[in-house]
Amino acid sequence: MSEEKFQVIIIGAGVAGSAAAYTLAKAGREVLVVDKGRAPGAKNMTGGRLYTYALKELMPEEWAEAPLEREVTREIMMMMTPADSVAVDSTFGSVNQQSYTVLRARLDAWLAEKAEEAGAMMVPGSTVDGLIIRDGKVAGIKTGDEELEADLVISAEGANATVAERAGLIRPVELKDVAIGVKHVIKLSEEIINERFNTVSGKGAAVMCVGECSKGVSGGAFLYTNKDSISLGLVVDSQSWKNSRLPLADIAEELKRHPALARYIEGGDLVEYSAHLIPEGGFKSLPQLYADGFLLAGDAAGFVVNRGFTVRGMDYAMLSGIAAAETANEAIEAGVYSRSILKSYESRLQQRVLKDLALFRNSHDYITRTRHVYKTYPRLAADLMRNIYNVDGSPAKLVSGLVKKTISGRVPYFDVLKDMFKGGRSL
Amino acid sequence: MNILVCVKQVPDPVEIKFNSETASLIRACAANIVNPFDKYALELALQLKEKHGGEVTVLTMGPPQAVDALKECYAMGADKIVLASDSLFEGGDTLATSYALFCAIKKTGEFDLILYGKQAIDGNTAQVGPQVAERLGVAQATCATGIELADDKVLVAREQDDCQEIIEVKMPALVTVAKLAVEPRNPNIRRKIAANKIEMPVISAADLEGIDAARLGLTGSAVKVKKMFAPPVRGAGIKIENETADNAVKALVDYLSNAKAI
Ligand SMILES: Cc1cc2nc3c(=O)[nH]c(=O)nc-3n(C[C@H](O)[C@H](O)[C@H](O)COP(=O)(O)OP(=O)(O)OC[C@H]3O[C@@H](n4cnc5c(N)ncnc54)[C@H](O)[C@@H]3O)c2cc1C
Ligand SMILES: Cc1cc2nc3c(=O)[nH]c(=O)nc-3n(C[C@H](O)[C@H](O)[C@H](O)COP(=O)(O)OP(=O)(O)OC[C@H]3O[C@@H](n4cnc5c(N)ncnc54)[C@H](O)[C@@H]3O)c2cc1C
Repeated sequence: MSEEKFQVIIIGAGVAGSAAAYTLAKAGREVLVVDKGRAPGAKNMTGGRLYTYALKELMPEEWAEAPLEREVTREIMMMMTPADSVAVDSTFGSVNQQSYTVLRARLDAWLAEKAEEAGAMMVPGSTVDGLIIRDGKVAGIKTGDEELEADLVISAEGANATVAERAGLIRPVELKDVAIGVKHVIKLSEEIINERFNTVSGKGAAVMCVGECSKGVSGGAFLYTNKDSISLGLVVDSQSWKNSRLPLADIAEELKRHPALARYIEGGDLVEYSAHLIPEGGFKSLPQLYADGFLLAGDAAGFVVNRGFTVRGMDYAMLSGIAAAETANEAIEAGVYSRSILKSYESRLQQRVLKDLALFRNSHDYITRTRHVYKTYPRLAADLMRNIYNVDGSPAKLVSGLVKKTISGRVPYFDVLKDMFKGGRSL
Repeated sequence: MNILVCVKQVPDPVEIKFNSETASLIRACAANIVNPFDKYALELALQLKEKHGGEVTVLTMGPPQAVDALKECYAMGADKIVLASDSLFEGGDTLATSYALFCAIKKTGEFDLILYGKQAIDGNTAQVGPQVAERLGVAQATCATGIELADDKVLVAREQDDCQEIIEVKMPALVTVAKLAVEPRNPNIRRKIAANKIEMPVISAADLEGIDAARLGLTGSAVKVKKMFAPPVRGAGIKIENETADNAVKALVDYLSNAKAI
């Protein structure tokens, strides 16, 4: 390493930062990663499911050693009222290593270790305060009273990217751009989890819930089985949460007591509690992804898709980390770090990340504006199920009659059709 | 001015877990940190060096992973770091620990001032520093919150509740350090990078001439732990839930009077 200058400095050792560092180090570049956590991943959070294709792409050989918790082979979609729940439960014998549950403290530490082994310099425990900007070009980072120079800086600093924001490279985060997530990790033995979810070691379940779980606030709850713990949490739209004036911690606490979920976590010990922002602005809020000497990757760039039944961010963080590294490689080879070269980053992202974001451009609005989803439909589903199975000796009715009886007066048929149609086109 | 700081790597109390079956700490899952008082001692040493020049050496006795503690000290600004590591040192009480440190210090060099933390937050005996001072035959002062140099003496401000106590000791001296008014400095990135690359001298028992192996480790310990146990865990309280205020109060009063508490 030349004493005073790195080829690339990466802010953040989350999945995006470590993916970029790993790719660059493999290409023999001098790369420094600075993370504010005491150890990489120490404070990072996610719901829990990593779509594995991205990890395989990052490290075709080593990925199988990654600390993945359980392969998701069982998907449960649940609608909840205060007392009842209706679930669609699917067990997939046919999926093959498509997605795994993960815990960030383990995954991020491992990814950072791999990047370090490949030759990247990982420096945890330091916070980047700002960027060195010279003649309009990003030329390094500032931390405390120290300045470190680089040909190129990649911000992989996650949602609420204050470094990029302070430098005027992205606009400040607004309420509508972010959702808020809280999560409890509850420790249980591997055997108990296997029993409760009717699964074997190494395989597990993902549960997505709408309805009472978020107290009518737009959003939903999730539950993931890890090896010997359960991640249970919720994601709510920040505007809708603000309007509700409900304390988020209370909603999360009550979630744990809902009969449909309490049975899964009974007797477990709470070992982790966390809260985090999730970029939700989607395609419409995407920032400028590059500037002279500068690239944005992962959550910092807003690469998250929330479709209600899945949140995807980690796979996009990895893909964009790889794409940023490839772009940096191209720039280093050309010896040019200006926008004219770095714009190839956008074309690298076009095929997958940006295409998906464009496709689901309306999912956020759908999720936040379709209010029946959170109260009315769960109620209807639970009532319909109860009516169908109710036998009390009174004259029986055809199912169509029961549907009519359940829906009538609760919600206009037209609304149901509209919500279904729009949902199909948004999610 | 040659200053030596002795530091101990301890489990992070935030993450510590206790195995109640075997009555021992689960060290594997706890992250390790530099004993907080030792960081104050290092901070004080670095301030003295900045003012008066000289060199700061940091010594630890511990398992191989104690290099992380030393690297952190190097990143903070220490000039030299030394690890004393040997299976013969393992399991010692304060007597054996201070003997091993005494031998390692003599091997490491001559020092005008030796700083210790006032106590280690795991063992908490506050005995190691004073014992080493006795073995070295140097003056000692404990629980310092500040140190001034005055020719061949040091003025030590000691931690006191209701007065200011300043004592004078002749150098070479050993001083144990309490919490300072300032927090220990954060290492900068360049120093951290340098620390990552540093070669570390390791002293084993065989390197210490004339050392008496019988006085080391568990064999050399005067204190033997006979039994360890966790205090009984308090059960969860009773929650009166889903009741109207009236019923809840009634349930509470019933409960308390049944328990003969009222
Ligand atoms: C509740 C919740 C549920 C989710 N569920 C899923 C899911 O199931 N599947 C999925 O794929 N995605 C999910 N996501 C999204 C996913 O977690 C994120 O998209 C992903 O973590 C983004 O990774 P990243 O590396 O871009 O950012 P982060 O993981 O946020 O990493 C940013 C890093 O930068 C560091 N940093 C920040 N600022 C500085 C600074 N100034 N100086 C130095 N370091 C700094 C941080 O310490 C951190 O290590 C969920 C998110 C939440 C909050
Ligand atoms: C009642 C009791 C009985 C014990 N019995 C045993 C036993 O039988 N067997 C056993 O294995 N352990 C035993 N221990 C633990 C052991 O004595 C201590 O952990 C160890 O000797 C260090 O003492 P300390 O942690 O109290 O350090 P303190 O004396 O509190 O430490 C003061 C300072 O000394 C320095 N220091 C301490 N240790 C080191 C080190 N390793 N390297 C460099 N500097 C250091 C640091 O500057 C520290 O701040 C016992 C502890 C207690 C309280």
